Amino acid sequence: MGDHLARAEDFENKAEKKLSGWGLFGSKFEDAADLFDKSANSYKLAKSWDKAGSTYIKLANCNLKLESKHEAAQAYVDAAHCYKKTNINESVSCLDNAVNIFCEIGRLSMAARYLKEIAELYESEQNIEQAVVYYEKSADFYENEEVNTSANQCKQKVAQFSAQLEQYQRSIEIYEDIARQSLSNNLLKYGVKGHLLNAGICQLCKDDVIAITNALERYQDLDPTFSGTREYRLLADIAAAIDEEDVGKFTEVIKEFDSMTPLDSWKTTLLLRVKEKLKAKELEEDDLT
Amino acid sequence: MSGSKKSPLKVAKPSSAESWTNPFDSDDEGKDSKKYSSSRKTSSERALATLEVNTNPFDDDIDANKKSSSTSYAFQSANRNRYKNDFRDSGGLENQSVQELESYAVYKAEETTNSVNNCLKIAENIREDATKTLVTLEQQGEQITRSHHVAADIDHDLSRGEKLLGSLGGLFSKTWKPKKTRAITGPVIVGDDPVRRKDNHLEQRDKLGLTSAPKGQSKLRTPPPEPTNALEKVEVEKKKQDDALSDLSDLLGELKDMAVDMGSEIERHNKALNHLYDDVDELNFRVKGANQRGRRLLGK
Repeated sequence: MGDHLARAEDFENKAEKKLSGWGLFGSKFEDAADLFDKSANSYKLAKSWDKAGSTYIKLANCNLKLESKHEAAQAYVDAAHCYKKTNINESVSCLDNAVNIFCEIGRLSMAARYLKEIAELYESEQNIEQAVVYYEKSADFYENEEVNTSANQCKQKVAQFSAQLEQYQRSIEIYEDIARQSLSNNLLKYGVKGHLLNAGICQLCKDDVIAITNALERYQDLDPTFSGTREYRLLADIAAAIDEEDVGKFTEVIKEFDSMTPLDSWKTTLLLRVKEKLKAKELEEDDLT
Repeated sequence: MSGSKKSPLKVAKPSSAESWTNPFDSDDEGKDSKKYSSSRKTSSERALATLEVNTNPFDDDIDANKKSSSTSYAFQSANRNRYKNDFRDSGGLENQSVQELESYAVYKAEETTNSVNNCLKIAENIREDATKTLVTLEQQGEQITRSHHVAADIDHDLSRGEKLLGSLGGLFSKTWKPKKTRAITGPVIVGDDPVRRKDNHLEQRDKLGLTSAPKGQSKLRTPPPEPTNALEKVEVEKKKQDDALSDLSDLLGELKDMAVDMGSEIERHNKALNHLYDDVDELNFRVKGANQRGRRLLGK
């Protein structure tokens, strides 16, 4: 480990010397870039992540001087991957730089990929608002490049987090849009009822029985087979329970569905919100009487 | 469906290892050890029987006293064990009272309902996994197409490179023509590409009156009235089984369609990969030729 560290520092010092010296036709930047690359690799082997990251940034700057934009962007990505282990903010900053360069040189699919990576970093840090922003950007870029499945994955993340942030309408629109797209594709059509269920749960969270009923009718028009599914039955029964303000029935319906298809944490969270609202209504009724 | 009752915990019979005694132990010790092991076992059984872990976050307001329809016919575990071995210990089926046989019929009906529900649960899990697999296949197809587009772009750039290499060289040098065995085709859509057809097949079926929507509407099930006797109880269980089997039938039909779609998509991928392989092979051949030309020029 110490051996790698010593070598890394040696390479870095040589690179710095090259940069401060004279060079013909920018060859000093080429030599320095080569040395910075070796130095960064040695730092990585020594598990000195911060130093490796800062060295990759120096390498990126050299590549920018040499007008090698692709290499510069890749160096920023490598720096981000080193910083990921120690400093998330630095990692995000490096990936942002890489994305800007990829956009400049027209590599939009690469830009989309790293925007998604930034979103994932924010997600791991529980910074949902920022995660949504970057997932949305990523989806936009993927859509421009016609990488529809990746775009849909990012959109689903946006919808999921929007619902958590109580932006239900936005979430509903995304899920319905994905369902509409999926219907015309033989491979994706089987996931339609899942998307419509998610949209329906978001409708339930809005606490408007008429809107829920209208949505269910709309979903039937969208996919004629939906009315025969357990998902449709779940939504219809919950809507009825909300209309009757019957918490017991609400619970029974969900338990029956869960016994067959276990609800994931996202659905459970949203349905608990619906239940809390329903309970509050019931208490209000009791207070009035 | 949720009303169906789980079979109770079986009381484990003492294993041969437990009943075996060490010939070198004194009688008293043997008795003591037996007593200890049996008491330990019964306490653990008691713990198992009373332990009810509540993991459902929606459970809090279900009345503890409110039992589902099936629990009104609660049986002693001893009776259940007799049912399990078809009354072999108590003189066979023909020696049982009508009441006993009615209870047995209810027990068997519940057991069947549970089995059907378990099948349905497994089918649901398979369906979920299959849906994810199909999404992955779609993504894979897109990636193959994108890779092929990139190969076509490389061909375009390589052609320009070959032109430049051809124009290099001395005044008296022989003009160089790159060798090409075949043209780069780029991504080929195989057949009529049924996966991406735009007209909505479901809409057309709907207009023809073939849609499964009416069938779906009939599936909105109303809970049956509370049964009062064993016969009604069996009928309720049969109704549950019919519903579950109907769901299972639909699910299996859908799984079959999914399997067919998976197969045709993988076949499409194989054909697309064959085309991609041919194009990449041609590119490889041309890059080698260009390298050779470059080396010759540098050698002069």
